[in-house]
Order: sequence, then structure tokens, then C-alpha cells
Amino acid sequence: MCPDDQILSQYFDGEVDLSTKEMIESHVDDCWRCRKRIEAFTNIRFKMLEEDEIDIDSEKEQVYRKIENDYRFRQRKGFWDKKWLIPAPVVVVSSIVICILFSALFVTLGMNQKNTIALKQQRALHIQMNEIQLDDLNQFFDSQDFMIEAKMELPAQGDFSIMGEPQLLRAVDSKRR
Amino acid sequence: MRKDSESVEFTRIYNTIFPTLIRIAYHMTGSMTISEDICQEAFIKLYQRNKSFPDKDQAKYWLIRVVKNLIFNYEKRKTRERKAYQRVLQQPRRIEPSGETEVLKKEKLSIIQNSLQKLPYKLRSVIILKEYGRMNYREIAKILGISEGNVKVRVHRAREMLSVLIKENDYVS
Repeated sequence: MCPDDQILSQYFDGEVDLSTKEMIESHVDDCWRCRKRIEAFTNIRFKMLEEDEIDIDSEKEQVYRKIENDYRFRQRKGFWDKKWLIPAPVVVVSSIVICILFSALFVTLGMNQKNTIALKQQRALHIQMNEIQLDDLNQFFDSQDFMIEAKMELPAQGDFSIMGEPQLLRAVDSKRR
Repeated sequence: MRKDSESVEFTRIYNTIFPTLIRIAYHMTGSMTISEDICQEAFIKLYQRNKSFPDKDQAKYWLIRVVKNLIFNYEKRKTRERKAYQRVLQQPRRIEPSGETEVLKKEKLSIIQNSLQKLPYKLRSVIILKEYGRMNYREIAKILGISEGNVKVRVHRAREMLSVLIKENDYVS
């Protein structure tokens, strides 16, 4: 009995076990139909392999060069050519954070500026104390919009005639006591 | 390329596997131009992923699988385009053929190539891996992700269909 086409195809590809192979071989010797079927398989294989005679050397070189060029092209990309993929939520959050930081910076700078003005005036006051009269001093304090912490130092020589104010002298006396 | 050792390894894999890969791609697509592009893409994928393989065969199987997938995508695109052309051709205005169609037309196919192109993708891939890839059923099953029994059936059906198609093409030419 002839083996079916699929078994014969497997036999032709050498994909059957040894016992099946021997069985088919002995059968094919006596059966011209099966020989014909195997011939048909051989014919297809032969025709297919005839088509396989293609010169691939030039393609091999060409494709290798293309791969190399592709790699070099990728390598050549500098820092400024790089594309960054940043998710939209990250951009929004970063913008908000930057805005907050800048606002905080401006507020802090403004406050520092005010302090600087006060310090400058304090220094100016300190310098002028030796010559200034109390009326002038009162006038100066009245003219300021903000509070000033003033430190008054009495002359080291103990000559209080410069200030000439009884209140001031009394204040010093009471501190000594 | 990258480091010297990696570059040498890549060149070694390329020189060994490229001939098999381009043959498979060529017989699957019927076009050397498209096969070159597909092989190039497959090797670039290998290079980018920097994959290491325990042996040469594993690299070959991986690359063949990539080529097979790329060809599958190419065929899907081709089918979509063909359908679109057919739809457009039904309209009265004249359509200029695309560059790819022109290239394909220039590459005149032989009887066997023509017959192979008419085989369904499932049968074509199996018979091409068998005859041009010179692989056994187990290897083909591994690459295509199907059972060996399935490979046996497909190889046989491909041969049957191919013999009919060759006779038809012989008769026509």
C-alpha cells in the first residue's frame, strides 16, 4: 500500500524515523507511482534552488555600508540636536514651581531693600549724634514712616553741654544709679 | 561603530547570517530592493538592542524572526495599498504609480518566484525556510512559533500548491 503524500513529503525532507525510512525505500523501489511523486518533489526543489543562484556580495557590502552610515548619523547628533520628550504634566508643574520661586525671590528682595534703607539711616543718625540738637532729632523721628530702633551714645569725655538737654542728662543719671 | 570588540562581533554575525537572511527575504518578497531594506532594519535592530546570544544559531533564529515579522508588516501594508489602488482605479481619473510600484514592476519575476508570490503567507514562509533557509522542521517550528506537526502539514501543502502554480505559470509563459 502506498504511503500518503504527507508521509512521502516528510520522507523526502529526511524527517521520518529509521524504520519508516526503510519501509518507504523498499516500497519506492517497486512502486513507479511513488517514484513519480518523489520525482515531482525533487523537481520543485531543483527549480527552487535554481532561483537561489543570486549574487549577494554587492548587496552584502551595500547593506553593511547603510547600517554603518545609519549608526554614524545617529552618533553625529550633538547635544542641541537631541529631542526631549517631556510629559505635559511635568511641564505644567515645573512652570508653577518656577513662578512660585520667582515670586518668593522678588518678595524677599523687596523686604531686604527696606531693611537696607533703615540700616543706612541708622548709621547716618549715629554719625550725626554728636552735633545734632534734640529738636532736630525729634523732627527727624517724626519725619520717618517706619519705626527706628535708635541707639544713643553719650560723649566719652562727660561733657554734656553739647546736648544741653535736662531730660537727657536725667536719663543718664538714672541709668548710672 | 561602537566599541571595537562589539563591532567585531557584529561584523562576524553579519557576515555569517546575512546571506541566509537576504535569500529568505528575497524569496519571500520577490524584490531585492525591499529585501535589502528589511535586512538593514533587522541588523539595525540587533545593533541597537545590543543583544548577546549564546551561539550563532540563536542569533540566526532571532534575526529570521525579525525579518519574518518585518515581511509580514510589509505584506499587510502592500495588501492595504493594493485595495486602496483598486478603489481609486474604479474612479474615472488617471492615477500615477508610486515609486515602489515602479521598482517592483522593473524586477521581473521568474516562474518559480511568481508561483511563490502566489502562495499564501503561511505556506510560503514554511517552504522558503525549508528550501532556502535549509532548516529542519524543528527549527522552522521554533522560528514561526508553531508545532512540528503543523510544519509537516504546511510544507506538504506548499509543495502541492507550488507544483500546480508552476504548471499554470509554465503554461501561461
